[in-house]
Amino acid sequence: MSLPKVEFKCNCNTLRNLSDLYCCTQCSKLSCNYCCETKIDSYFCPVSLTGLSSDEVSSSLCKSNKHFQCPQCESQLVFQATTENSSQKLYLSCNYCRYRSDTAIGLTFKSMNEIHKEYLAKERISHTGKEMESLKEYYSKISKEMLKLREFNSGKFHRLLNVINSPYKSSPRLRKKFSTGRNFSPMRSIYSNRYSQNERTKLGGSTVGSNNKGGGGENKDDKFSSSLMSSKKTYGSVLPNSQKMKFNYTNLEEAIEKRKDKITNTIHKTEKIQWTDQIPKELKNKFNVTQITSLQQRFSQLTTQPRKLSELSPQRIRLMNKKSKQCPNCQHTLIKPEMNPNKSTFKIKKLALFVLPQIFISKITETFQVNKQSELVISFKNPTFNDMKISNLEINTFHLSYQDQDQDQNENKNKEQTTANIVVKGTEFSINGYDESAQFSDITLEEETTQKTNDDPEFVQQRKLNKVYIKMLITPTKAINLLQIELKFKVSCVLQSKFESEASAIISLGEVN
Amino acid sequence: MNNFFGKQIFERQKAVVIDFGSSFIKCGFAGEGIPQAFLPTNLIDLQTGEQLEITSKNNTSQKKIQIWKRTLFKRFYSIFFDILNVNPKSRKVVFCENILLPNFIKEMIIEILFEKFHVVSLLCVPSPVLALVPFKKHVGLVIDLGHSESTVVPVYQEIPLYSKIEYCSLAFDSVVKSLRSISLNELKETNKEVHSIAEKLPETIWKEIAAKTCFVLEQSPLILKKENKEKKKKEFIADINYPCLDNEGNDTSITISGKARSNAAEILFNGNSQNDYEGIPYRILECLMSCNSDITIALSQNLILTGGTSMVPGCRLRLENEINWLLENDPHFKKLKGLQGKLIFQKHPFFNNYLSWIGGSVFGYLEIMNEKFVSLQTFKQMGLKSIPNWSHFKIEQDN
Repeated sequence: MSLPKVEFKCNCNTLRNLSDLYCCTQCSKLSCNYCCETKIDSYFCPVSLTGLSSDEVSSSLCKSNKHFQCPQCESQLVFQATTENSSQKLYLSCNYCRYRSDTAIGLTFKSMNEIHKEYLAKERISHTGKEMESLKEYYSKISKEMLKLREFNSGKFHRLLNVINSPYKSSPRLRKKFSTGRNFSPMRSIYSNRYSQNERTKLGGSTVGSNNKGGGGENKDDKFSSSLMSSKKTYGSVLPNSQKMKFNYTNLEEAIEKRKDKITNTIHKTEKIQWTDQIPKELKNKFNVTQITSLQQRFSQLTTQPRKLSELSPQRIRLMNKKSKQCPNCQHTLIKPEMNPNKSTFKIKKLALFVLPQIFISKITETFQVNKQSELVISFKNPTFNDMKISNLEINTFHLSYQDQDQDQNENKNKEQTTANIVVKGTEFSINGYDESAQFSDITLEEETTQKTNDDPEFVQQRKLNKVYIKMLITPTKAINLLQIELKFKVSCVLQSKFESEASAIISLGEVN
Repeated sequence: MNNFFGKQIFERQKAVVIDFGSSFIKCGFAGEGIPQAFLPTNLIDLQTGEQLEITSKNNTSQKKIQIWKRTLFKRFYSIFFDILNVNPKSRKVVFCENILLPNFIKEMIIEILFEKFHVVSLLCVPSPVLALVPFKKHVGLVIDLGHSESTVVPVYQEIPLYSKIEYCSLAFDSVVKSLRSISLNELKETNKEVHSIAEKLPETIWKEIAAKTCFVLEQSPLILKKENKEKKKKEFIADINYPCLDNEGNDTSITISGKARSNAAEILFNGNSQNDYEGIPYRILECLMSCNSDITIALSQNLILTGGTSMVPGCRLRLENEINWLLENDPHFKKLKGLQGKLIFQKHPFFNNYLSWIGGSVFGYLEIMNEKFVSLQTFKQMGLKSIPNWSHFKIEQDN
C-alpha cells in the first residue's frame, strides 16, 4: 500500500523530497545529490578536531598520526601511564572492551613522540615494501627495453635504410644482424599490431629494406600509423641478444644427443618450489572460537592477516573531510561549509526549502473509484518572509517512464491514456509571507481570513497565515495501482533580488479500484 | 622541501586502483604495496531494499537500470570521498574487472565514472592478466576461487584466451550452504532445541562460522573409500562450540561437529548434483587439455591460485593431490599423463586476497601504460559507449 506523498522533479528527471533538493539562485534550476558536483574543501582529524592540508593527508596515507583505534571493537584508544620499576611507561587502552596494549602485545612507549619513530616507521615500510619496489624495477626495465625496440622498429629507421638500400644488401654482416631471432619478447603483444592483416602474412621474417607491403616504410592503408601501440612491424625481427644454436659437430649421433640435452634442460630448468602449508594440528583439536579473529578484524591489518586475536595490533584512525557542492549548469557554489572543524555551520546554503513552497495534502473526501468524482485539497506554504506569487498552474496526470529508449511510445500512450479528469478553476494566486508577530497578536485566525480576500471559493478554499488551500475535482477513468498527478507552476518571490523559477511537483495518490 | 616522512611534496598524483569483487571491494593508490581498504560490497538499494550482486550470473533485465545506477553511484561516492579522501576530477583510475562481467554493468560503471565524477582517464584490465604481475611471469594458468563463482583462465603474454575459459559456480557461497545443511541435519537427530536456534541464524553468521572453523582434508574421503584405504584409526576432529543468542536473548552456544567442519569444503572438489557435476580439479585439467599443445608445458608449470577461498587452510595441498590422482586414474586425461607430479604452483610474498589489486597498482605506476588509458576527451569526442576490450584494443581516430 503506498501512502499519498508529494515529491518534486529534479533536473535529472528523478523524483525527490523537497528537503533533498538544492536550488541555484542564478540559473534557477533544481539539483539533487545525484547530479550536482562535489569537491573536497578541507580535511580534519575527527578526534582532535584540527585541520590538515592535503599534502599532510597524502603523506600520512589518509590516517592520523597520533590517534589509534582498538583492533577488536574499532573505538578510540586512550593513552595511559603505568609506573613499573620507577620508570613511567605509556600504553594504549580501550574504554569500551577493556583492551590493553601492554598485556596483549607488550606495546609500550616512553613518550608520545616515540610512536612516530618506531611504530609508524614499521608500518611505512610495509606499505611500500621491498617486494613492491622490486616489482616496479623489473617492470620499468622491461618498459624501457620495449621503448627502445619500438624506436628501432618504427618507420624512421626503415626509411633511412630504404634510401641507403644498396650497401645494406651487399653487406652480409648487417643482414645477419637484422635477420630472424627468436620469436620471444615479453609484453610484445600489448605493443604490437596483432590483428592487422599485414602482420599475419609474415611471422618471423624481417623485410627490412625490401618493398613488401607491410615490410619497411609506412603504409597509407595502415590506419594505426599514428596510433597508440604499434611498432607496426614484426616481432622477431630484432632482439638485441639473439642466440642461435650452432651446429659444428661432425658426428651426427653426438649432435643429436647434445641437442636433446638442451631441449630437456629447458623444460626441467624451472626450480622446484617447496611448500610448507600443511594444516596445523591446532585446527583439528578443540579451540576457543572467541580467540579467533573475524574477517573484518583481519582485513584491518592487511600485511599479516592474523588468525588469532592476540596478534592484532592497534591501527590508526581514518581522517575525514568537508565537501562543497556546485550547480551542474552554471558552476556556482550551492553549499560551502566553514573551514573550522569545530563548527558545523555553512557559509553558503542554497536549499530548495528556503525558496519553493512546501506542498501538503490536507483532504481527500472520498476514496478513488472509477467514474466517481472526489475532491482533493492541497495546501501551499510559504517559507520566506515576503509575499510569494504562483502563476501558470497546470495540472495533468503523470506516468513514469523507465526506459528512455521507448520514450516516444510512452508519450503516445500518455496521450491516449489519461487516467483521470481533473478540474481546477484558476491559475494564479499569491501567498502571504511568514509573520512572526502573528502568534502574539489578538486577532484570531478566523477574523483574519475574512478580511482581505477576493478569492473564488471554488478555487482557494481557505487562507491561514502563510498557507493557502486549493481545491480540485478528480474523476478517475481507469483502474490502476497508483494514480499520479503533476502540478506545474511558476514561482516568483522577492529575496535579495527577484527570483523566478519553474517547478513541477508530483503527487502520488493511492489505488484506484 | 621535505615532509614528515621525508618525501618530496612535488610528486605527480597517484592513480586510483579499484577492484570490484562480488563480496569485497579493494581500493587504494597506485605504487603502494597494500590496498587502503577492504570493504564489503553491500549493494543494497535504499529505496526498494533489493540487494544487487556483481557477478556473471546476472539475469536482471534492463528495466532495473535505474536501481543499478543509484546503488553504484553511492558506492563509488563513498569510495572516493569517505575512504580515499580524493577528488576524482584530478585522478586517473585503473579498474580491475571480472572477466565474465555482463556488458550492461560495465557500461554503467564507465558512464558513472566519466559523466558523474569526471575522471581524467580510465583503464579497464581483466583481473587474470593482473594476477600474473606479482610473479614476474608472462604465461600462466590463473585459478580464481572467489565468493560467488570460480574461473580457470589461461593467460599468454598478457592476453587471456577467452575460448578456453572454464567456469563453475562452486565457491565460498556453496561452502557456507553445505556447512549449514550438514550441521542442521546432524542437530536434528541429536539436540532439537539447539536445532531450532540454529535454523534461525542469518547467513552472515554462518559465513563467519565458516571463516573461523572450516578447513580442507588432505585426501578426499570418497577416493579413500574407493581404494579401500580408509585408516583403521580415524583421525579425531573435535567439535566446536559457537556462542550465540537464544530466542529469549540468553547466551547459548551451537555445537558444530568435526564432520561438518571438515566436509563442508568437499563440495568444491566433488561437485554439485544440480549444476556443476565436476569439481574444480577436473576443470583445471579440462582447461589444460583444451589448450594448444605448445602452451601446455609452460602453463602447467605456472599455476597461480588467487581469491579468498583459496586461503582456506589446506586448499592448495588438496588440489595438488586431487590433480595427481586424476592424472593417474582417469582415462579422460590420457593425453596429459606425462605431467603427473610435475605441476608447479607458484609462490609469492603477498596474500591471495589482493593479488590482482597489486597488478593494478604496478600498471598504474608505469609510465608506458599512459598510452592505454582512455581519456575523458576521447570518450566524449568519439561518442563511445564503452571501452573496447583489453586484448582487442583499437581506437580508430578519423584524422
